Amino acid sequence: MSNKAETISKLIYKLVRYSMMRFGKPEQKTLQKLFSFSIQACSSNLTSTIELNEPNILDLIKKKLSQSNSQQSVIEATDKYRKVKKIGILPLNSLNEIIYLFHILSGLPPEKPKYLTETSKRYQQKDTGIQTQTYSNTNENFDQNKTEPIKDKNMKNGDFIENQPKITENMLVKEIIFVLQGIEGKMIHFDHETQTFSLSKRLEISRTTRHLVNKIAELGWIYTKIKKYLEEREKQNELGLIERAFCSSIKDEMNDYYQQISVFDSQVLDFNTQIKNNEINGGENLVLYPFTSTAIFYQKDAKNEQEKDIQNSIASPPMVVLQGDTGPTLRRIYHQARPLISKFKVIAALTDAIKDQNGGAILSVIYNFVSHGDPEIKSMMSRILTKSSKPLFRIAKKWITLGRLDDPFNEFFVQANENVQKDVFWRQKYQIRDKMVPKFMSIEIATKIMVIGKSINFLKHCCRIDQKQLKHEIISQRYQSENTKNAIVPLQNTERQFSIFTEISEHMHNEHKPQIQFLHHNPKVSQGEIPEHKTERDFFLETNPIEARSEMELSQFYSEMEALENLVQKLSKKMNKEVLKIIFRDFKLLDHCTAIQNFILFGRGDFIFYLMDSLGEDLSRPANTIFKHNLLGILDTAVRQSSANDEDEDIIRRLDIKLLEPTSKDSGWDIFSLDYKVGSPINTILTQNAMKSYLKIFNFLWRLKRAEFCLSETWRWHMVSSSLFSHFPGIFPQLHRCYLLRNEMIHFIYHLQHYVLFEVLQCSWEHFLEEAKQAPDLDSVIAAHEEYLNEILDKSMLTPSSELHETALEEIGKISRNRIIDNQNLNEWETHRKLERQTQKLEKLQKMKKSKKIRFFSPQQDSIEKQGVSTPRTEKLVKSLNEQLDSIEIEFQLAFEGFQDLLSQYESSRPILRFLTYRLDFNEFYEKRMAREMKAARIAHTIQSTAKKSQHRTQKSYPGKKLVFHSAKDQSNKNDDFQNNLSDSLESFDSDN
Amino acid sequence: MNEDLKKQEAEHTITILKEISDLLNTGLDQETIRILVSLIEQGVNPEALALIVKEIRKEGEQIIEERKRNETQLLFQPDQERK
Repeated sequence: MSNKAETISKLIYKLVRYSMMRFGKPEQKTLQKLFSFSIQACSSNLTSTIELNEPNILDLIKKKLSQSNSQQSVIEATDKYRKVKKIGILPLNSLNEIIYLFHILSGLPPEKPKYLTETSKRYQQKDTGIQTQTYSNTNENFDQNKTEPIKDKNMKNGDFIENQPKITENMLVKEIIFVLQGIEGKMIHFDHETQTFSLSKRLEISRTTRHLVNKIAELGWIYTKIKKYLEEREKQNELGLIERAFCSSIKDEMNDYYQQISVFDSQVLDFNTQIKNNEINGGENLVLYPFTSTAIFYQKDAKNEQEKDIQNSIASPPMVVLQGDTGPTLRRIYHQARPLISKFKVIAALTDAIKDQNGGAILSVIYNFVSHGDPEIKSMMSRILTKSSKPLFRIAKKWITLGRLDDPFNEFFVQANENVQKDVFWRQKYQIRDKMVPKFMSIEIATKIMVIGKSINFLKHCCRIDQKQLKHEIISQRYQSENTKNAIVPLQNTERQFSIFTEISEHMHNEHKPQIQFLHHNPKVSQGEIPEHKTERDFFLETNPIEARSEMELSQFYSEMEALENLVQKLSKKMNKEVLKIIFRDFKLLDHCTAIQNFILFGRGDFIFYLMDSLGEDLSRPANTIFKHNLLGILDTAVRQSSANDEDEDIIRRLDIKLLEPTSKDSGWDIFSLDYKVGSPINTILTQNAMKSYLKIFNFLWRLKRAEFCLSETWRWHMVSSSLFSHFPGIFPQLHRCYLLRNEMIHFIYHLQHYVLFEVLQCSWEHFLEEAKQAPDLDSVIAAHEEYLNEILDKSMLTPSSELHETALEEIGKISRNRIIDNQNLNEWETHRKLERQTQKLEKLQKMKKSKKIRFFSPQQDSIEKQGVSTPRTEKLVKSLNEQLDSIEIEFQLAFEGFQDLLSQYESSRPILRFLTYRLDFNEFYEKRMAREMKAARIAHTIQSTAKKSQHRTQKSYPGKKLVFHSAKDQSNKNDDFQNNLSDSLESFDSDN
Repeated sequence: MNEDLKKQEAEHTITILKEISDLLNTGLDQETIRILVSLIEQGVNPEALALIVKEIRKEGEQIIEERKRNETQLLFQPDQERK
């Protein structure tokens, strides 16, 4: 040991002597002084502040060099270090130590006086515009850090003392803490252009520090942004509940932030007091890392004297290196603030995204953020979502349980329309706001929620269901759903299942005592299941405590959702059932439908027949002379006379007559229609529109029936006339034609009627009944009814020119209607004619009777009379009859053919029409006639064309009138032939028929 | 041979160290480095050595300044004498 000490002291002496020799010959005194100092230094047990290993050392060199020199020198230095290591003659730790020594020595700061002169020198240079840079070795670091001319800085920076103040890390830390609270500092200003906090550019701070400070300052900016948002929202009077909840949840998150700031603050305070204490204690137990990038200025501020001292101690290399807390550095703050930055960035983005949204849409936005990859942020977002969604759930629960729409700020996705009539209550009162349906809720659930509330209100307002009765029903349902809910949601969470369940139990215990009985009825549910689940849950918690807790935190929201969904499913089933029960049982929907089917859609044939029979007289009058009250009496008698008398009084009372607006030409038949009045809840299904459709169908059927009625009337007349005219054989062929035509018409009308009444109405009716009985909810009943109506309209070709059907269809409807009118006109016409004829005949008859009477007296005169009468008058009569019959026949034939054409066009899309066409022409009578006519027409055409051609030819080749005449004659002959043939065959067919 | 090689290597090491020191701008010459290396090899703490070097430099500066003052005084004196 002594040997070693000797060598050391020898070496030290050598070092001192050698070094001092460079400054000239040293005095013995100084040598001695230095030597003793050196020995003292060596013998004091100093230990290195850092662990000296290769990476640390290289790092130190790198830092040192990167501040001053290029990257090149860094590489060079490390290269050399490796070389020495490779040679291996120097032990590694010694090498490290020597490099460390170099490192310390290279960091030598310039001495004060020299430095000052240096800077002042530079001033002069700048002033005189000389740009030559005379950097001394010692202040190279400083020069590297300079970013702007000092002159500029001196002029602009009024905040600071004319001599540049030192900016210590401590100052920056203090500043940063203010900035984090959104307050501008002396050095860090808020730039309104870029909307960021940034260090004043005039300050001479190294780029890395600047970067660090700016990064931390970003948090300050984000904070101010969020705070601004919150303040803005708070000022608003009409802030939605959801947004308010959102704001408060953000405020909760902000608490973390405030906590962190106060931690920083206290750290700074602690550190400062520690420094003070250390100073008092001699400043020995102080660790100060050189804040290498601190810009160094000198200041004469008396206040910062202490700061200056610290700065001095920092400025000189860490001569005293001791243990202790290092206090808050920028890096530390940055490190601690980093998670906050990422967190608050997301919140800021969230507030931005939410700005223009309202209610449910806000929740959709938050929900988008929940699927964030960062678990930290994810959990925060789910917290926010849970809190923000509470008002929505509260509104939803009130809505589905009580039917109360407590939504003052229009946040809920169900919207109530004002001033909605009762008959369209179900359809129009409540609507879904698509935008407000939160993304985590499927549209089906939202619709179900809407329907539940709607059902409650519907029953309340339209069905006049007793409030208490309804509540009773709902609560019983709620109770059940509560049980199912408890089975799903863990018991730990029950406290957060707000008011609703306590509400339910309150209801049960206070208001509805029978409910308690209900509770006792199900002891299995109320007592058995819950404890079972509890133990299960406990078991789970025991095995996975952490998981359970985190799951509880995160899945709070989801379980809430699930609970709501379950409740909704249960309630919607119950409510739908309830509504249907009330509609079907209490309001007898099907009875009304049957009544409509019977009365308006001609279900009761005898009633219609009686009605038509007894109304006939009144309705034949012009429309403007008809009054409703007259007809009502007839209607009543018709009901009494027919089997309709057995119907319920209520239904009969609802039967009404509706007279359309008469125009001058209309007769009573045109404006008359039967109506059926429906009351409040039923008109939800049998709407006004539906009733209009019924009316349309009724009109169609009424005309059809009328045609049939007229035809049967004519039949009666014909029967009478046939016996009457048996004495007039001359008129018989005309009568026969009459019968044939009538039969043809009856054939058509019967089949059309059969088609409409049986194939269309009855089939659709059966179908509808089935659907209505199976319908799970009111909406599907409504849909079934609408489908039923549409089917009828469609198949009986009455569809209006609605968007559903193409124009062709519309045309068919129109023409077929026209056709019916035509037909009716025809029939009317015919009946008129028949009546006319009848009167004529009667006249004749009277005359004949007279003549018979006369014959009684003078039987010889008989034949003379007969002959005399028959010759001039009957001739005339027969002629006019023939003419009339011709025109009627042609009209009917044209209309019928038109109808057939349309049918064949329409057939392809409606297979059901095929039966009608088949039945209308079952013995191919019309087809054959058509073919015949076609053939005749074709032949006529060809003859005509050949005649023309030959004419042409003869004119060209054989000029001469003879030939032309011949061909013309030929043609006329042939035409005559055809006509003869035609009439012959017609007659034969007629006779066949 | 072995000795020679060792010496050579040691010399080489010192020169490289000198280069590093120059890169770091320590202002140390090769001889000083040699002494410092041997001191460190003896187990002296580098920080203590840094203190020593700095102290020596301080002392040296003082000497130089004194000398300068003396020189200027000397410069002035002959002038005055000449006058």
